Amino acid sequence: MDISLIAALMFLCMFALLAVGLPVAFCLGATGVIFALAFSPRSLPVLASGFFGTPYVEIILTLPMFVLMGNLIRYSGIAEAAYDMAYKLIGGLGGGLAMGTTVICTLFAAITGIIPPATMTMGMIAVPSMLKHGYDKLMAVGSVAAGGALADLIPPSGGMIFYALLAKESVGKLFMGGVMPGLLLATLYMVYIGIRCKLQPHLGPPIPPEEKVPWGERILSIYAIWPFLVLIFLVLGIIYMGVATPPEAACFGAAGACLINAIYRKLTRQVLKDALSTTVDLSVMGLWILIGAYFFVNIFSALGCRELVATAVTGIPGGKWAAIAMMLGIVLILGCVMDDWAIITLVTPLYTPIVVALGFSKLWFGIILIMTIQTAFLTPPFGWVLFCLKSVLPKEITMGDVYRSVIPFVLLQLVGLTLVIIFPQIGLWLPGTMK
Amino acid sequence: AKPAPAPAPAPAPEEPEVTKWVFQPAFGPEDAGWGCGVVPWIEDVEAATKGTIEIELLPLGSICSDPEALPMTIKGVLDLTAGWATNYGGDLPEGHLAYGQSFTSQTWEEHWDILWGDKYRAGELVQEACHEKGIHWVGWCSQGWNSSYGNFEVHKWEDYQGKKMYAGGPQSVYLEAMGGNPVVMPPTEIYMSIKTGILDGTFWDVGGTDDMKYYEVVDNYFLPPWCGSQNQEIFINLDTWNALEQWQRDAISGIFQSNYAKASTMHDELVGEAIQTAKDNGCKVIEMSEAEQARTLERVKELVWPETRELSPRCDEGMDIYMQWMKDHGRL
Amino acid sequence: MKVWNKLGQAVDLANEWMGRLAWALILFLMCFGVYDVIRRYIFNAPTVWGYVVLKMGLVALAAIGGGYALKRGSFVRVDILYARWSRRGKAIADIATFAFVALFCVIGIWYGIDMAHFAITTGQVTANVEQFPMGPVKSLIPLGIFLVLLVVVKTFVSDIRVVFHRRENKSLISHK
Ligand code: NA
Ligand code: NA
Repeated sequence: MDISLIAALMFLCMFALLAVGLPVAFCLGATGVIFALAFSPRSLPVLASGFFGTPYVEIILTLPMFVLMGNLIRYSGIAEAAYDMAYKLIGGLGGGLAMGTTVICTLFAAITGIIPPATMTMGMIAVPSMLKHGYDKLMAVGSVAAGGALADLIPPSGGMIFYALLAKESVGKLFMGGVMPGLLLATLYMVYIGIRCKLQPHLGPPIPPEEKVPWGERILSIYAIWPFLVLIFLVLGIIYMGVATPPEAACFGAAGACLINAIYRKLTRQVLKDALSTTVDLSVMGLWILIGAYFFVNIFSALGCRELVATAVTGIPGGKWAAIAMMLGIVLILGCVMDDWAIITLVTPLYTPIVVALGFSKLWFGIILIMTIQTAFLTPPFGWVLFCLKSVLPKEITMGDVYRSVIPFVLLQLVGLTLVIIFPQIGLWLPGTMK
Repeated sequence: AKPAPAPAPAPAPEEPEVTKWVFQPAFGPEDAGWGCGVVPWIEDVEAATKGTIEIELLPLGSICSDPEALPMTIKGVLDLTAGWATNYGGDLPEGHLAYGQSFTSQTWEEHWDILWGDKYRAGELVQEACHEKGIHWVGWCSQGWNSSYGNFEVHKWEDYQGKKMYAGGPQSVYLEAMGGNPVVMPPTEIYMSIKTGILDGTFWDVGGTDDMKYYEVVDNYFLPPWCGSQNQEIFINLDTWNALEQWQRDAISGIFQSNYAKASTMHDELVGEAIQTAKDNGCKVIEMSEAEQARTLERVKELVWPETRELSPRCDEGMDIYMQWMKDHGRL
Repeated sequence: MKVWNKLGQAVDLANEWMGRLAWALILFLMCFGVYDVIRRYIFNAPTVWGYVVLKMGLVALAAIGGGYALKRGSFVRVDILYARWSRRGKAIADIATFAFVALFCVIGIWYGIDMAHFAITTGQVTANVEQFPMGPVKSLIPLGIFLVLLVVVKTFVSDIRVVFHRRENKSLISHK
């Protein structure tokens, strides 16, 4: 059978299984098994060896550790304290609460490597508060959604871990490379919210004067963010200062989250139980997706389809920039229907040889790939942020509202992406300055 | 001007049956062992077997991860793999004999002599072990010196004491013997870790320091290398090997030595270039005095070589051959 | 029916216990990672085997946690259509895909046993100096996939019951 036909059938089979609701990890793995049985039975032992070889990597440790950290910190109450600070500090500005939400999501992003903690917590705290203060529901929901998606771009980041692993790139460098683009996006969101609420004050009215607090109290409220700073130091600071490698720093982050919960008297049996079970759920699910996707790619390669992708991408007219655009375009499309970890695992082994052959830096490509993947969280029908958010929002907000609320933010993400492509230094500057 | 008419095609000989092999090394195309090791070997094999064998070379991870490459070759999922004893040593301890030993051979010619020279033939032991496992040792190249680099100075072996350096497998045995503290981490994190100070330095093959850009983060390159000739091996699944016709096996065995010389020479050039790059970027190359080298050798004799002997009975026997060679060459 | 229910409970219980082991494993990995850094940074005594312990722990986590996470409905799926279907519709979809998942598991178990057997009989060890045996951790892989298969079969049986006994619609597996 023609190789390009086999490649097409493989993806078709996987998408068909996805469509009928089979878990993503099984869609990838089962498709691999079927095509191996049909066309390359001798490759079957790779499935078992993948269950060993795929998680047998130190970097993978960052996954359960950052997940645990995020799941613990959700219960600590530090998000509520930080939101209270934002409320006191900038609630008086038009769109102030939405801008404050973006700031807190950014802080949250710097201490979690996955989407749910920031998105769900802020969805529970910030959205009802903004609605109560007369914010437009699309503005309220959109700001949380966009902020929640930052979790994967601002380090630590699950997506970056998977990319680094498969592209043989330094996780430490990628983490540092995500900082500036993440702050750039956060700034774009805030500027947009500010301008929009200036022009259309009904979208985000300032809190009424009688609710305003005196300046002294406002300054004092900044104290509430200390746990964020401690955790950011534990995770990024010790990597930057040369105490620990990223997987080790992740262990420190998780241990630090335990301590902070203990200080806030929130390290109860129940919290620990909830956090651990959710951590096992999410990290094992992630590992199985990684194993399934890796096996899919292994079989794809064993059948000789890898060349096909390279030829297709490098052969398109318009040179290397067209090739980059095509690779990212495919990611954007996959992002509508697939999980971010699955996409990264699928495309990284196929893309990185092309990226190197075109003369681009793997680090830079990793950053723009993650920025592209970030939109996948917000684009319907499949998007982590959308699911997490919908599960905690008040009933009167429909999925349709959520979809509409993210449109301006998806456009802003694409603006940010374009900026980093045009000015690679936004991403590459910080990793270059380390010590 | 009109193009000259194309010459009439020669009558096609009967199409020989083409055997297709899948080759996935335990390292990626970014390693010098790719372009100067496996690629020239494939070219030589395909030429020697007159187009009857076609080899598809896949990047690491295409079929399996690096620790699984040798087991997958034994199982026949891969036809061929390549790597160092440092990454497959758990499956084939005798690979350490082929890989190289501390303070023994200093050039690839010397290393050839220990493994396949008429008088020594330690390679037979490696090949026996391979056949027991279900593979055949089919290709080889020396990547030259494997040395160490750091932000401190080494003039005598004691200077390694208390230093945290990346060192895996035999490197860590050597570093521990010198009183240093080996650290293992993902190779992608070494550069950053030296830069930030988690590590004081690292071990690596000299030719590869160029690609890893270690000269940007260390002050000094240390000589002599702890291993004068680091070698990379190519293995083929035994059934795949036995399925060939005799003339094909002879043809492939026939290029073993010439290809070793060719690929090793290519690597020697890389070593020279890497040292030059380091110097051009302000790194100092520090060489131990002869007297200090002799003291280090004593230490190696006492603490490093016995570790190889303990890996297996064949390794023990192999080390006897190494020692015989050392005596014959006045090195002991 | 009663036998099935009992078997179903046994499957749940086994996975629940594996889940507890996975919790402990996560806490262990956290503490071990911190310990390894302290050893290296404060006592200047790094280990060359610490990373092997961590990596083996990760393999074990992926293996033993699979059935637990699946049982709790945590394997993410693209529920564009799926979420809108009735319990019965979902059951029919699950039945349709059962063969695919079962095949995946059976192949995984088959070659997993083969891999573990190979590791044990050939005395496969890690390539580092300490040479830890690979047999034990590789044996966990077929076991872990088997636990996943049990959950899949259990769900399949309850799906069949949902489809054919329309009145019974007690969900035996929670969907996220
Ligand atoms: Na993050
Ligand atoms: Na999406």
